Amino acid sequence: MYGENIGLLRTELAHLLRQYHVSHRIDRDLARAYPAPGVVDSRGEVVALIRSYRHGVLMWCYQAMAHGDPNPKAEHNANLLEPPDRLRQSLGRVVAKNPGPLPRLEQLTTHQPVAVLESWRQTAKTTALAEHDLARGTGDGLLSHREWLTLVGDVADITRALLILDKRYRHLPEWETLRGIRLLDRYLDDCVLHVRERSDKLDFNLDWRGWHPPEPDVEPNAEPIVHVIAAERRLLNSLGSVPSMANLRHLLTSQREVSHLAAIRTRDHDRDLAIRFHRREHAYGSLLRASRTAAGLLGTGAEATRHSADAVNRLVSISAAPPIPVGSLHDLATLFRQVDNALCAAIEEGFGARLYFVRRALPRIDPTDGHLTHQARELFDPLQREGRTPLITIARRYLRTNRVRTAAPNNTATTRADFHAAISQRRSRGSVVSL
Amino acid sequence: MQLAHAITLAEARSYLAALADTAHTVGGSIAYERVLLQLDLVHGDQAPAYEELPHSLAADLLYRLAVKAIHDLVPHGVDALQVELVLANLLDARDTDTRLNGPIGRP
Repeated sequence: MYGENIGLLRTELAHLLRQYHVSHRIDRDLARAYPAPGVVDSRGEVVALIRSYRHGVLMWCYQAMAHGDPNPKAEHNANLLEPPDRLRQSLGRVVAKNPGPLPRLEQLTTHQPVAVLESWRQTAKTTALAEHDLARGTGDGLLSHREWLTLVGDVADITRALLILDKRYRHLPEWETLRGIRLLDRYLDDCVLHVRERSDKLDFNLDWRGWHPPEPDVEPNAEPIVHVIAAERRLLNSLGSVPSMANLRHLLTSQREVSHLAAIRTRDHDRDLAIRFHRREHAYGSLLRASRTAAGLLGTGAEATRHSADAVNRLVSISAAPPIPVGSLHDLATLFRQVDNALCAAIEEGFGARLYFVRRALPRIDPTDGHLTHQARELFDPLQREGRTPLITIARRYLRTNRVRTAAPNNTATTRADFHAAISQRRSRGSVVSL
Repeated sequence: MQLAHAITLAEARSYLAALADTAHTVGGSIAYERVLLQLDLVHGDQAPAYEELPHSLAADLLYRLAVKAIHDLVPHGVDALQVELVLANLLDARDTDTRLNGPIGRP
């Protein structure tokens, strides 16, 4: 979330701004810290790392200005530019003139023993996370104008803090001050004034925007069978595209296992339902056997496979001793039927779009063919042909329960003809107008 | 993939498929099927077809043949660690199959 990230960024930068005599602090912490492997151990390295963290923050400032603008200006007429546009251009120049390495992942995630460095690490980590907000609601021109003003104010504050810190650190050995910041101060002032003039217009709802963790669709303490049903439902929702053959085989295996487990758990409570589950397990067994000869690298389905495996794992953990509510099991059976239909459609589409192929057996010499000169034994399966592949036949026979309509309903032609006759005001045959 | 490699892989697949088809329990059949999937995954799903073996072969014999065929993949350049992982899963599948906790019968 934008507010969370920027709040943390502000806190850490304020903490850094309160610290003076940085060189002394770094030396003290370095002397105290236990020299563990992988942790920086010289002042030169600390300073270099701070520079790369600074580059990360600067980069975020530029990206936020470049991607957050709801009305980016295309023209190059300098008179039409507003303070935020000038700030963006200036930040772009600063980023271009100070090329530095961005911090690596382990540098962002490893705790640093030097306190100053740790604060810098937090700021850089926060900006790395805040980049995700740009793709999820903060960028792409989705902001309202008032939210945009708030964002400009935030970026201006953060950039100013960076400039102050840059000035304060200039006496550190091996420190490189930022280049190309001559006019940046003025643009920052302009921006702050620009925002402050419109301070009544600021919209802090911006803080709600950005990336949110996905909300769980089931209460965490719900009945275990509810989790199974939810996983199966997610599987159904993710079956929109054609899975690749490897994923399809995983799907078939896990669905077979789900049916098997469900049949075992239903056996003593509902005989009919158990038989249905058992039949489904049997059908998936045949499908699996047929799919061993099929191959195909194209397709998706990683998500569906994950949900299917999730359903298996959750069903395994449910014991059969306290009986599962029959209503839930019937819901599961309904879902199974829908998943079957979706899978059948996916298999048909995969074969129709030529994503799936049939493996060929290897040609071999057959020494038992009775001839003196042995011929290569030919064991070729026919390549995919509609209706000839066992996989598709089995899928149609066992999985498809939706009715397939090959002919139109009976009376469509008659009613249309009658209606046409009525429109053209002709008397339809057989009826007599009585006066 | 060389021809010898392909033939060895086809043999291993055939034995695993036969094991899955003649398993005593449904759970065992599923476990064998997973081993077959894993073997295909090691080869990036580029594997020849399998052959239907007669169902009269003893499970023990099939198991030993499968282990030998999978072992024979190592000289053809398959990662030895992956092969060992497949074999470990095969052993687990065999344990699952001999424990009768599900309905008995050919799946």
